[in-house]
Amino acid sequence: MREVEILGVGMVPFGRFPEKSLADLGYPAVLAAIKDAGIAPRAIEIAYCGTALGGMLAGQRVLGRIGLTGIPIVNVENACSSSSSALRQAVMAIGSGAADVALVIGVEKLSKYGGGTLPLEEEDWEVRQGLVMPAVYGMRAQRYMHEFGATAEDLALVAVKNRRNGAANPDAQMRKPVTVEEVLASRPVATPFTLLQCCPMGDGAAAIVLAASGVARQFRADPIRARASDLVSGKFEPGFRDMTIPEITVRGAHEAYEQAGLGPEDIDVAEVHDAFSIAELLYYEAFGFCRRGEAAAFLRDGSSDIDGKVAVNPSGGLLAKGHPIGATGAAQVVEIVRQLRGEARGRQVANPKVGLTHATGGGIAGFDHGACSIHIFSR
Amino acid sequence: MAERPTEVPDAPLSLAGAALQRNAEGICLIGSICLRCGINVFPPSPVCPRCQSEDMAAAEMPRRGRIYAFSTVHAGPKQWIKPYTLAYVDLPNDVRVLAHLRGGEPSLGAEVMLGAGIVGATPDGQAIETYVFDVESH
Repeated sequence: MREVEILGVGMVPFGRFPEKSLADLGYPAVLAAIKDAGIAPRAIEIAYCGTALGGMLAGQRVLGRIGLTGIPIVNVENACSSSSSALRQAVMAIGSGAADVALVIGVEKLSKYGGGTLPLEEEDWEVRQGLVMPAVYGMRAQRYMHEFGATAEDLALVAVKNRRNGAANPDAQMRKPVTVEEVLASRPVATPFTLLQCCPMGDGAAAIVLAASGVARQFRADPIRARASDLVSGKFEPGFRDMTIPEITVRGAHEAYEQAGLGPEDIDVAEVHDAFSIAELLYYEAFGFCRRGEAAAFLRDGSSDIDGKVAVNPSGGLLAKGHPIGATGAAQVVEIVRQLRGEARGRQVANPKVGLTHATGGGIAGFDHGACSIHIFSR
Repeated sequence: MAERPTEVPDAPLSLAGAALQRNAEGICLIGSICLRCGINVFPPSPVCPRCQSEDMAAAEMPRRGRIYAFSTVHAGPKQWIKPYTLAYVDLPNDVRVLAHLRGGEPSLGAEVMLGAGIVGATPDGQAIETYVFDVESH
Protein backbone atom coordinates (compact mmCIF):
# COMPACT_ATOMS: atom_id res chain seq x y z
CA MET A 1 0.00 0.00 0.00
CA ARG A 2 1.29 3.47 -0.88
CA GLU A 3 1.89 6.11 1.76
CA VAL A 4 -0.82 8.74 2.11
CA GLU A 5 -0.36 12.35 3.13
CA ILE A 6 -2.74 15.13 4.17
CA LEU A 7 -2.40 18.18 1.98
CA GLY A 8 -5.15 20.45 3.20
CA VAL A 9 -7.82 20.84 5.84
CA GLY A 10 -10.72 23.19 6.36
CA MET A 11 -13.82 23.52 8.45
CA VAL A 12 -16.66 25.88 9.20
CA PRO A 13 -17.19 26.94 12.80
CA PHE A 14 -19.66 24.58 14.46
CA GLY A 15 -22.89 26.09 15.72
CA ARG A 16 -26.61 26.20 14.98
CA PHE A 17 -27.53 27.28 11.47
CA PRO A 18 -31.12 26.17 10.91
CA GLU A 19 -31.50 28.50 7.93
CA LYS A 20 -28.61 26.87 6.01
CA SER A 21 -29.04 23.73 3.95
CA LEU A 22 -26.64 20.83 4.42
CA ALA A 23 -25.05 21.67 1.08
CA ASP A 24 -24.54 25.29 2.10
CA LEU A 25 -22.92 24.15 5.36
CA GLY A 26 -20.60 21.82 3.52
CA TYR A 27 -19.15 23.62 0.55
CA PRO A 28 -17.23 26.36 2.43
CA ALA A 29 -15.32 23.64 4.30
CA VAL A 30 -14.42 22.03 0.98
CA LEU A 31 -13.24 25.33 -0.52
CA ALA A 32 -11.14 26.01 2.59
CA ALA A 33 -9.47 22.59 2.40
CA ILE A 34 -8.73 22.96 -1.31
CA LYS A 35 -7.19 26.39 -0.72
CA ASP A 36 -5.18 25.06 2.19
CA ALA A 37 -3.92 22.19 0.03
CA GLY A 38 -2.82 24.52 -2.75
CA ILE A 39 -4.27 22.21 -5.41
CA ALA A 40 -6.43 22.94 -8.41
CA PRO A 41 -9.96 21.77 -7.54
CA ARG A 42 -10.08 19.49 -10.57
CA ALA A 43 -7.09 17.55 -9.23
CA ILE A 44 -9.51 15.78 -6.90
CA GLU A 45 -10.26 12.36 -8.39
CA ILE A 46 -12.59 10.83 -5.82
CA ALA A 47 -14.65 12.08 -2.89
CA TYR A 48 -16.01 10.44 0.25
CA CYS A 49 -18.68 12.24 2.24
CA GLY A 50 -19.47 11.22 5.81
CA THR A 51 -22.87 12.10 7.22
CA ALA A 52 -25.14 10.15 9.55
CA LEU A 53 -28.45 11.98 9.11
CA GLY A 54 -27.81 14.25 6.14
CA GLY A 55 -30.01 12.34 3.73
CA MET A 56 -29.53 10.94 0.25
CA LEU A 57 -26.67 11.99 -1.98
CA ALA A 58 -25.18 14.35 0.61
CA GLY A 59 -21.76 14.44 -1.05
CA GLN A 60 -23.26 15.24 -4.43
CA ARG A 61 -25.40 18.02 -2.91
CA VAL A 62 -22.34 19.63 -1.33
CA LEU A 63 -20.06 19.25 -4.34
CA GLY A 64 -22.82 20.24 -6.74
CA ARG A 65 -22.80 23.73 -5.18
CA ILE A 66 -19.24 24.24 -6.35
CA GLY A 67 -19.38 22.18 -9.52
CA LEU A 68 -16.87 19.54 -8.45
CA THR A 69 -18.94 16.67 -9.79
CA GLY A 70 -18.68 13.79 -12.21
CA ILE A 71 -15.97 12.13 -10.12
CA PRO A 72 -16.86 9.04 -8.07
CA ILE A 73 -18.58 10.26 -4.89
CA VAL A 74 -19.29 7.82 -2.09
CA ASN A 75 -21.51 8.68 0.87
CA VAL A 76 -20.49 7.00 4.09
CA GLU A 77 -22.65 6.46 7.17
CA ASN A 78 -21.24 5.07 10.42
CA ALA A 79 -23.01 7.24 12.98
CA CYS A 80 -20.44 9.42 14.76
CA SER A 81 -17.62 7.69 12.88
CA SER A 82 -19.03 8.65 9.48
CA SER A 83 -16.34 11.07 8.31
CA SER A 84 -13.52 9.13 9.98
CA SER A 85 -14.77 6.09 8.07
CA ALA A 86 -14.94 8.25 4.94
CA LEU A 87 -11.29 9.17 5.53
CA ARG A 88 -10.34 5.53 5.88
CA GLN A 89 -12.00 4.76 2.56
CA ALA A 90 -10.06 7.62 0.95
CA VAL A 91 -6.80 6.39 2.47
CA MET A 92 -7.46 2.91 1.10
CA ALA A 93 -8.34 4.27 -2.33
CA ILE A 94 -5.06 6.17 -2.54
CA GLY A 95 -3.05 3.48 -0.81
CA SER A 96 -4.21 0.88 -3.30
CA GLY A 97 -3.46 3.09 -6.28
CA ALA A 98 -7.08 3.66 -7.29
CA ALA A 99 -6.61 7.43 -7.00
CA ASP A 100 -3.81 9.93 -6.40
CA VAL A 101 -5.81 12.77 -4.84
CA ALA A 102 -8.97 12.44 -2.75
CA LEU A 103 -11.37 14.67 -0.86
CA VAL A 104 -13.08 13.77 2.40
CA ILE A 105 -16.07 15.71 3.68
CA GLY A 106 -17.88 15.47 6.99
CA VAL A 107 -21.16 17.34 7.25
CA GLU A 108 -24.20 17.28 9.52
CA LYS A 109 -27.19 19.45 10.30
CA LEU A 110 -28.75 18.45 13.61
CA SER A 111 -30.56 21.78 14.14
CA LYS A 112 -33.29 20.42 11.85
CA TYR A 113 -34.39 18.29 14.82
CA GLY A 114 -34.94 21.31 17.08
CA GLY A 115 -33.66 20.44 20.53
CA GLY A 116 -33.55 17.28 22.61
CA THR A 117 -31.47 14.15 22.38
CA LEU A 118 -30.05 12.74 19.17
CA PRO A 119 -32.73 10.80 17.29
CA LEU A 120 -31.76 7.14 17.12
CA GLU A 121 -32.92 4.27 14.93
CA GLU A 122 -36.53 3.50 15.86
CA GLU A 123 -36.35 -0.09 14.66
CA ASP A 124 -33.68 -0.89 17.22
CA TRP A 125 -35.22 -2.79 20.14
CA GLU A 126 -33.53 -0.83 22.92
CA VAL A 127 -34.25 2.51 21.26
CA ARG A 128 -37.93 1.52 21.10
CA GLN A 129 -37.83 0.75 24.83
CA GLY A 130 -36.60 4.27 25.56
CA LEU A 131 -32.82 4.18 25.26
CA VAL A 132 -31.11 7.51 24.59
CA MET A 133 -27.34 8.07 24.24
CA PRO A 134 -26.97 10.05 27.51
CA ALA A 135 -28.43 7.04 29.37
CA VAL A 136 -25.98 4.61 27.70
CA TYR A 137 -23.03 6.74 28.71
CA GLY A 138 -24.69 7.46 32.06
CA MET A 139 -24.63 3.76 32.85
CA ARG A 140 -20.97 3.53 31.80
CA ALA A 141 -20.22 6.42 34.16
CA GLN A 142 -22.14 4.83 37.00
CA ARG A 143 -20.24 1.54 36.68
CA TYR A 144 -16.91 3.33 36.38
CA MET A 145 -17.54 5.48 39.45
CA HIS A 146 -18.64 2.38 41.37
CA GLU A 147 -15.63 0.26 40.35
CA PHE A 148 -12.86 2.87 40.45
CA GLY A 149 -14.07 5.55 42.83
CA ALA A 150 -14.25 8.41 40.32
CA THR A 151 -16.40 11.28 41.59
CA ALA A 152 -18.94 13.66 40.09
CA GLU A 153 -16.25 16.31 40.28
CA ASP A 154 -13.85 14.15 38.25
CA LEU A 155 -16.45 13.95 35.50
CA ALA A 156 -17.08 17.69 35.66
CA LEU A 157 -13.33 18.36 35.30
CA VAL A 158 -13.41 16.84 31.80
CA ALA A 159 -15.95 19.45 30.76
CA VAL A 160 -14.01 22.22 32.52
CA LYS A 161 -10.79 21.31 30.67
CA ASN A 162 -12.43 20.98 27.28
CA ARG A 163 -14.49 24.15 27.65
CA ARG A 164 -11.25 25.98 28.57
CA ASN A 165 -9.60 24.62 25.42
CA GLY A 166 -12.64 25.44 23.29
CA ALA A 167 -12.58 29.04 24.46
CA ALA A 168 -9.37 29.42 22.44
CA ASN A 169 -10.80 27.77 19.33
CA PRO A 170 -12.66 30.10 16.94
CA ASP A 171 -14.30 27.04 15.31
CA ALA A 172 -15.82 25.75 18.56
CA GLN A 173 -19.56 26.02 19.19
CA MET A 174 -19.08 26.77 22.91
CA ARG A 175 -16.61 29.59 23.56
CA LYS A 176 -17.06 30.30 27.26
CA PRO A 177 -15.13 28.45 29.95
CA VAL A 178 -17.12 26.86 32.77
CA THR A 179 -16.37 25.95 36.38
CA VAL A 180 -16.94 22.64 38.16
CA GLU A 181 -19.79 24.27 40.09
CA GLU A 182 -21.47 25.47 36.89
CA VAL A 183 -21.11 22.03 35.31
CA LEU A 184 -22.64 20.21 38.26
CA ALA A 185 -25.42 22.80 38.67
CA SER A 186 -26.55 22.61 35.04
CA ARG A 187 -29.79 20.72 34.50
CA PRO A 188 -29.82 16.92 34.75
CA VAL A 189 -30.00 15.07 31.44
CA ALA A 190 -29.50 11.39 32.36
CA THR A 191 -27.83 10.56 35.65
CA PRO A 192 -25.08 11.20 36.46
CA PHE A 193 -24.80 13.72 33.62
CA THR A 194 -25.80 17.33 33.74
CA LEU A 195 -26.22 19.37 30.58
CA LEU A 196 -22.66 20.73 30.48
CA GLN A 197 -21.29 17.17 30.54
CA CYS A 198 -23.07 16.36 27.29
CA CYS A 199 -21.86 17.46 23.87
CA PRO A 200 -24.08 20.10 22.29
CA MET A 201 -26.11 19.23 19.20
CA GLY A 202 -25.42 21.46 16.25
CA ASP A 203 -24.37 21.84 12.67
CA GLY A 204 -21.04 21.89 10.94
CA ALA A 205 -18.72 20.67 8.25
CA ALA A 206 -15.07 19.85 7.79
CA ALA A 207 -13.01 18.68 4.83
CA ILE A 208 -9.66 17.06 4.09
CA VAL A 209 -7.60 16.83 0.91
CA LEU A 210 -5.20 13.92 0.80
CA ALA A 211 -2.83 12.48 -1.76
CA ALA A 212 -0.31 9.76 -2.41
CA SER A 213 3.00 10.83 -0.91
CA GLY A 214 4.81 11.05 -4.24
CA VAL A 215 2.10 13.37 -5.57
CA ALA A 216 1.60 15.39 -2.37
CA ARG A 217 4.92 17.13 -2.52
CA GLN A 218 4.00 18.75 -5.84
CA PHE A 219 1.57 20.90 -3.85
CA ARG A 220 2.94 21.38 -0.33
CA ALA A 221 6.40 20.93 1.08
CA ASP A 222 5.06 19.92 4.49
CA PRO A 223 2.29 17.34 4.06
CA ILE A 224 1.29 15.42 7.15
CA ARG A 225 1.82 11.67 6.97
CA ALA A 226 -1.03 9.28 7.73
CA ARG A 227 0.64 6.56 9.80
CA ALA A 228 -2.49 4.55 10.61
CA SER A 229 -6.04 4.44 9.32
CA ASP A 230 -8.20 1.98 11.19
CA LEU A 231 -11.84 0.95 11.33
CA VAL A 232 -13.39 -1.63 13.62
CA SER A 233 -17.00 -2.50 14.30
CA GLY A 234 -18.49 -3.43 17.63
CA LYS A 235 -19.09 -7.08 18.45
CA PHE A 236 -22.76 -7.87 19.00
CA GLU A 237 -23.13 -9.31 22.49
CA PRO A 238 -26.58 -10.33 23.79
CA GLY A 239 -25.42 -10.95 27.33
CA PHE A 240 -23.02 -9.52 29.87
CA ARG A 241 -20.59 -6.78 28.77
CA ASP A 242 -18.25 -4.80 30.99
CA MET A 243 -19.41 -1.28 30.27
CA THR A 244 -16.27 0.27 31.78
CA ILE A 245 -14.10 -1.13 28.99
CA PRO A 246 -14.79 0.47 25.60
CA GLU A 247 -13.83 -2.77 23.87
CA ILE A 248 -14.21 -1.42 20.37
CA THR A 249 -11.73 1.40 21.08
CA VAL A 250 -9.33 -0.99 22.80
CA ARG A 251 -9.27 -3.17 19.67
CA GLY A 252 -9.01 -0.19 17.34
CA ALA A 253 -6.20 1.39 19.35
CA HIS A 254 -4.21 -1.84 19.29
CA GLU A 255 -4.62 -2.13 15.51
CA ALA A 256 -3.78 1.53 14.89
CA TYR A 257 -0.65 1.44 17.05
CA GLU A 258 0.46 -1.70 15.26
CA GLN A 259 -0.13 -0.17 11.82
CA ALA A 260 1.84 2.90 12.76
CA GLY A 261 4.58 1.01 14.62
CA LEU A 262 3.97 3.32 17.57
CA GLY A 263 2.72 3.14 21.14
CA PRO A 264 0.80 5.34 23.59
CA GLU A 265 4.02 7.01 24.74
CA ASP A 266 4.56 8.32 21.18
CA ILE A 267 1.29 10.25 21.02
CA ASP A 268 1.77 13.98 21.68
CA VAL A 269 -1.75 15.17 20.92
CA ALA A 270 -5.08 13.37 20.61
CA GLU A 271 -8.63 14.26 19.64
CA VAL A 272 -10.84 11.58 21.21
CA HIS A 273 -14.57 11.04 21.32
CA ASP A 274 -15.69 12.94 24.43
CA ALA A 275 -19.42 12.87 23.62
CA PHE A 276 -20.07 12.79 27.39
CA SER A 277 -17.64 13.52 30.22
CA ILE A 278 -17.06 9.87 31.22
CA ALA A 279 -16.05 9.02 27.66
CA GLU A 280 -12.77 10.91 27.77
CA LEU A 281 -11.77 9.17 31.01
CA LEU A 282 -12.47 5.75 29.51
CA TYR A 283 -10.45 6.64 26.43
CA TYR A 284 -7.33 7.69 28.36
CA GLU A 285 -7.28 4.07 29.53
CA ALA A 286 -8.30 2.49 26.24
CA PHE A 287 -5.45 4.27 24.44
CA GLY A 288 -2.96 3.36 27.16
CA PHE A 289 -2.28 6.95 28.14
CA CYS A 290 -2.71 5.79 31.73
CA ARG A 291 -3.46 2.52 33.49
CA ARG A 292 -6.92 1.11 34.02
CA GLY A 293 -8.72 2.83 36.86
CA GLU A 294 -6.32 5.79 36.87
CA ALA A 295 -8.04 8.10 34.41
CA ALA A 296 -9.41 10.54 36.99
CA ALA A 297 -5.96 10.99 38.54
CA PHE A 298 -4.44 11.46 35.06
CA LEU A 299 -6.88 14.28 34.40
CA ARG A 300 -6.53 15.88 37.83
CA ASP A 301 -2.73 15.86 37.54
CA GLY A 302 -2.98 17.94 34.34
CA SER A 303 -1.54 15.10 32.25
CA SER A 304 -4.12 15.63 29.51
CA ASP A 305 -3.85 19.41 29.47
CA ILE A 306 -2.38 21.19 26.47
CA ASP A 307 0.96 21.30 28.26
CA GLY A 308 0.55 17.82 29.75
CA LYS A 309 1.95 14.39 28.88
CA VAL A 310 -0.52 14.02 26.01
CA ALA A 311 -2.73 16.94 25.08
CA VAL A 312 -6.23 15.49 24.82
CA ASN A 313 -8.87 17.45 22.94
CA PRO A 314 -7.02 20.75 22.57
CA SER A 315 -9.80 21.81 20.17
CA GLY A 316 -12.28 21.62 23.04
CA GLY A 317 -13.41 18.16 21.96
CA LEU A 318 -17.00 17.27 21.29
CA LEU A 319 -18.01 18.86 24.59
CA ALA A 320 -16.91 22.36 23.55
CA LYS A 321 -16.45 22.19 19.78
CA GLY A 322 -19.81 20.52 19.37
CA HIS A 323 -20.80 17.25 17.77
CA PRO A 324 -22.54 17.50 14.41
CA ILE A 325 -22.03 13.79 14.25
CA GLY A 326 -21.02 13.17 10.64
CA ALA A 327 -18.66 16.16 10.67
CA THR A 328 -16.84 15.29 13.88
CA GLY A 329 -14.30 12.79 12.54
CA ALA A 330 -13.08 15.11 9.80
CA ALA A 331 -12.97 18.07 12.23
CA GLN A 332 -10.73 16.09 14.58
CA VAL A 333 -8.30 15.62 11.69
CA VAL A 334 -8.43 19.37 10.98
CA GLU A 335 -7.33 20.04 14.56
CA ILE A 336 -4.54 17.44 14.58
CA VAL A 337 -3.14 18.67 11.27
CA ARG A 338 -3.17 22.25 12.53
CA GLN A 339 -1.49 21.18 15.76
CA LEU A 340 1.24 19.25 13.90
CA ARG A 341 1.87 22.23 11.63
CA GLY A 342 1.99 24.68 14.55
CA GLU A 343 -1.12 26.54 13.35
CA ALA A 344 -3.36 26.12 16.42
CA ARG A 345 -2.94 29.60 17.83
CA GLY A 346 -4.02 30.09 21.42
CA ARG A 347 -4.16 26.35 22.12
CA GLN A 348 -0.95 25.14 20.46
CA VAL A 349 0.70 22.05 21.89
CA ALA A 350 4.49 22.51 22.14
CA ASN A 351 6.19 20.90 19.13
CA PRO A 352 3.96 17.85 18.64
CA LYS A 353 5.26 15.19 16.27
CA VAL A 354 2.52 12.56 16.43
CA GLY A 355 -1.23 13.06 16.70
CA LEU A 356 -4.23 10.75 16.94
CA THR A 357 -7.92 11.08 16.10
CA HIS A 358 -10.68 8.81 17.37
CA ALA A 359 -14.38 8.84 16.65
CA THR A 360 -16.80 6.14 17.71
CA GLY A 361 -20.45 5.84 16.79
CA GLY A 362 -23.13 4.10 18.82
CA GLY A 363 -26.76 3.88 19.62
CA ILE A 364 -27.98 0.36 18.92
CA ALA A 365 -28.64 -2.65 21.14
CA GLY A 366 -25.98 -5.19 21.97
CA PHE A 367 -22.92 -3.19 20.93
CA ASP A 368 -20.32 -1.20 22.89
CA HIS A 369 -20.43 1.08 19.88
CA GLY A 370 -21.23 0.22 16.30
CA ALA A 371 -18.10 1.65 14.71
CA CYS A 372 -14.78 3.13 15.75
CA SER A 373 -12.28 4.77 13.44
CA ILE A 374 -8.82 5.82 14.59
CA HIS A 375 -6.12 7.63 12.63
CA ILE A 376 -2.54 8.46 13.56
CA PHE A 377 -0.63 11.28 11.87
CA SER A 378 2.91 12.53 12.05
CA ARG A 379 5.01 15.27 10.51
CA MET B 1 -74.37 8.90 4.78
CA ALA B 2 -70.88 7.43 5.37
CA GLU B 3 -70.54 4.71 8.02
CA ARG B 4 -69.06 5.86 11.29
CA PRO B 5 -65.77 4.07 12.11
CA THR B 6 -65.82 1.63 15.05
CA GLU B 7 -64.59 3.08 18.33
CA VAL B 8 -60.90 2.34 18.85
CA PRO B 9 -60.54 0.36 22.09
CA ASP B 10 -58.55 1.95 24.90
CA ALA B 11 -55.90 -0.79 24.98
CA PRO B 12 -52.38 0.54 25.44
CA LEU B 13 -49.84 0.37 22.66
CA SER B 14 -47.38 -2.36 23.57
CA LEU B 15 -43.70 -1.83 22.83
CA ALA B 16 -42.91 -5.47 23.39
CA GLY B 17 -45.32 -7.18 21.01
CA ALA B 18 -45.33 -10.97 21.29
CA ALA B 19 -42.27 -10.88 23.54
CA LEU B 20 -44.44 -9.89 26.50
CA GLN B 21 -47.07 -12.45 27.41
CA ARG B 22 -49.33 -13.37 30.26
CA ASN B 23 -49.60 -16.95 31.45
CA ALA B 24 -50.91 -18.75 34.55
CA GLU B 25 -48.00 -17.40 36.63
CA GLY B 26 -48.49 -13.84 35.42
CA ILE B 27 -46.34 -11.74 33.12
CA CYS B 28 -43.49 -13.37 31.28
CA LEU B 29 -40.92 -12.42 28.66
CA ILE B 30 -40.55 -14.76 25.71
CA GLY B 31 -37.16 -14.81 24.07
CA SER B 32 -35.42 -17.52 22.10
CA ILE B 33 -32.95 -20.30 22.68
CA CYS B 34 -30.58 -21.52 19.98
CA LEU B 35 -30.96 -25.28 19.63
CA ARG B 36 -27.50 -25.54 18.14
CA CYS B 37 -25.25 -23.53 20.45
CA GLY B 38 -27.57 -23.11 23.43
CA ILE B 39 -27.47 -19.37 24.01
CA ASN B 40 -30.54 -17.51 25.10
CA VAL B 41 -31.48 -14.23 23.45
CA PHE B 42 -33.98 -11.50 24.10
CA PRO B 43 -35.89 -10.14 22.24
CA PRO B 44 -36.86 -13.32 20.38
CA SER B 45 -35.05 -13.97 17.13
CA PRO B 46 -35.49 -16.45 14.25
CA VAL B 47 -31.70 -16.59 13.84
CA CYS B 48 -28.88 -17.02 16.33
CA PRO B 49 -26.67 -13.92 16.72
CA ARG B 50 -23.78 -16.12 17.78
CA CYS B 51 -23.74 -19.15 15.44
CA GLN B 52 -26.15 -18.05 12.67
CA SER B 53 -28.34 -21.12 13.17
CA GLU B 54 -32.00 -20.71 12.27
CA ASP B 55 -32.96 -23.57 14.60
CA MET B 56 -34.40 -21.37 17.34
CA ALA B 57 -37.12 -22.19 19.88
CA ALA B 58 -39.24 -19.92 22.05
CA ALA B 59 -37.90 -19.70 25.59
CA GLU B 60 -39.41 -18.09 28.64
CA MET B 61 -36.93 -15.73 30.30
CA PRO B 62 -36.36 -15.86 34.07
CA ARG B 63 -38.56 -13.37 35.91
CA ARG B 64 -35.88 -12.24 38.35
CA GLY B 65 -32.63 -10.52 37.56
CA ARG B 66 -30.04 -8.17 38.99
CA ILE B 67 -29.38 -4.54 38.12
CA TYR B 68 -26.04 -4.10 36.30
CA ALA B 69 -26.37 -0.35 35.75
CA PHE B 70 -29.11 2.28 35.63
CA SER B 71 -29.64 5.90 34.67
CA THR B 72 -32.55 8.24 35.28
CA VAL B 73 -33.47 10.07 32.10
CA HIS B 74 -34.70 13.65 32.32
CA ALA B 75 -34.44 14.64 28.67
CA GLY B 76 -35.57 12.49 25.79
CA PRO B 77 -38.23 11.84 23.15
CA LYS B 78 -41.66 13.31 23.88
CA GLN B 79 -43.57 10.04 24.32
CA TRP B 80 -41.91 8.97 27.58
CA ILE B 81 -43.22 9.94 31.01
CA LYS B 82 -40.24 11.70 32.57
CA PRO B 83 -38.13 11.25 34.50
CA TYR B 84 -37.82 7.53 33.80
CA THR B 85 -35.14 5.13 34.93
CA LEU B 86 -33.59 2.65 32.53
CA ALA B 87 -31.47 -0.28 33.62
CA TYR B 88 -29.52 -3.12 32.16
CA VAL B 89 -30.84 -6.16 34.04
CA ASP B 90 -28.77 -9.34 33.99
CA LEU B 91 -30.90 -12.49 34.00
CA PRO B 92 -29.54 -15.81 35.32
CA ASN B 93 -29.66 -17.34 31.82
CA ASP B 94 -26.89 -14.94 30.66
CA VAL B 95 -29.26 -12.56 28.93
CA ARG B 96 -29.02 -8.81 29.52
CA VAL B 97 -32.25 -6.84 29.13
CA LEU B 98 -32.68 -3.11 28.89
CA ALA B 99 -35.81 -2.16 30.80
CA HIS B 100 -37.62 0.57 32.67
CA LEU B 101 -37.29 0.28 36.44
CA ARG B 102 -40.21 0.83 38.74
CA GLY B 103 -40.66 0.86 42.48
CA GLY B 104 -38.15 1.51 45.24
CA GLU B 105 -34.70 3.09 45.24
CA PRO B 106 -32.56 1.12 42.75
CA SER B 107 -28.99 0.11 43.54
CA LEU B 108 -26.25 -1.75 41.69
CA GLY B 109 -26.67 -5.49 42.03
CA ALA B 110 -30.19 -5.21 43.46
CA GLU B 111 -32.64 -7.97 42.64
CA VAL B 112 -35.55 -6.95 40.44
CA MET B 113 -38.77 -8.70 39.42
CA LEU B 114 -40.51 -8.61 36.06
CA GLY B 115 -43.71 -6.62 35.68
CA ALA B 116 -45.48 -4.54 33.07
CA GLY B 117 -46.39 -0.89 33.14
CA ILE B 118 -47.33 2.28 31.32
CA VAL B 119 -44.24 4.25 30.36
CA GLY B 120 -45.59 6.92 28.06
CA ALA B 121 -48.25 8.08 25.66
CA THR B 122 -48.57 8.56 21.89
CA PRO B 123 -49.36 12.03 20.46
CA ASP B 124 -53.02 10.85 20.22
CA GLY B 125 -53.07 10.09 23.93
CA GLN B 126 -52.92 6.30 23.71
CA ALA B 127 -51.01 4.83 26.64
CA ILE B 128 -47.72 3.05 25.87
CA GLU B 129 -47.02 -0.14 27.80
CA THR B 130 -44.00 -2.38 28.05
CA TYR B 131 -42.22 -4.74 30.40
CA VAL B 132 -40.62 -3.21 33.47
CA PHE B 133 -38.62 -4.54 36.37
CA ASP B 134 -39.72 -3.73 39.89
CA VAL B 135 -37.10 -2.89 42.45
CA GLU B 136 -37.90 -4.98 45.48
CA SER B 137 -37.98 -3.08 48.74
CA HIS B 138 -36.69 -4.92 51.80
